[in-house]
Amino acid sequence: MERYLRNQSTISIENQKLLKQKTVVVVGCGGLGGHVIEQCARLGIGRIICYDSDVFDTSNLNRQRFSTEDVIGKSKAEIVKEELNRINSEIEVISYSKRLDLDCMDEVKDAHCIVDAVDRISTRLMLQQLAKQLNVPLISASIAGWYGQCTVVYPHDDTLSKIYPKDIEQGIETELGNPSFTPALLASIETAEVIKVLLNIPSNLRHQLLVVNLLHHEYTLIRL
Amino acid sequence: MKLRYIGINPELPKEVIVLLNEDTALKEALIATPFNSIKKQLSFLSGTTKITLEDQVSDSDDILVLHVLGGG
Repeated sequence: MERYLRNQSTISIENQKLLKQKTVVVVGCGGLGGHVIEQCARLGIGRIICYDSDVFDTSNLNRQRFSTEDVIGKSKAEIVKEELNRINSEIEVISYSKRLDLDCMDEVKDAHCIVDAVDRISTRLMLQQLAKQLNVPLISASIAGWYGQCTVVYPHDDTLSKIYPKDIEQGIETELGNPSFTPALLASIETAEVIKVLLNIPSNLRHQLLVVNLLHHEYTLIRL
Repeated sequence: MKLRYIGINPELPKEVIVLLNEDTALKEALIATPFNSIKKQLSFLSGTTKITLEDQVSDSDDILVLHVLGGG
């Protein structure tokens, strides 16, 4: 337990042992997902299942945690698995170089929560449906420029249906881009929510959307 | 009617989501596009009916305006 010494007393020894028994599914190994996955591994979550069908490209280098010049062209999911094994060999990492969809239910049936770290709105809405079918919470975040948002969706909340339209795939990130600091912060917020879910700590992001404005440092909770 | 802009420069023309506060008759999220036409026309997330803000919202309503953030 020495490796988790600095987790205490934020996470008790008892809860640290509990985290070892938990399974988290992270969908997307890019800007948000890379940081979430690393933090989950360092926190000692026992099993991390991650999905990403993409390979690293040069445009990822500005922000994605596991992107380096020598892995351009390589599978994100495979690189993430390699790196996590170096960070924490005591946890199990399962990575899939493919998209997660509703046909993958069997692969994620043991999940205790799902993390939305994708960049397509239709995929986010699919994850909400998948989490509902699995009866587990979905932690969702998205980013654009200086701005980000995060919420926690419990089964049947359907919170994402309130904030995302069905007829578009992307938001204002197509204009504002994605610098390094925004995904790192929003991923940290997602990871904090993962820990709350796994340890049954109440979250005030259920039925609420945290909107973060890093340009003016405005942090707003909106009731949904 | 009070429009409250959250997060993003309101001058950027882009799709937005409008969330009315809990006390208003309208509780559904709305979309307006482009952004600078928000005072003229909105549509419900769940349907295609076009409405005008002036028809649906009183002067005392507080409306939050959010852009759609989709990056990951």
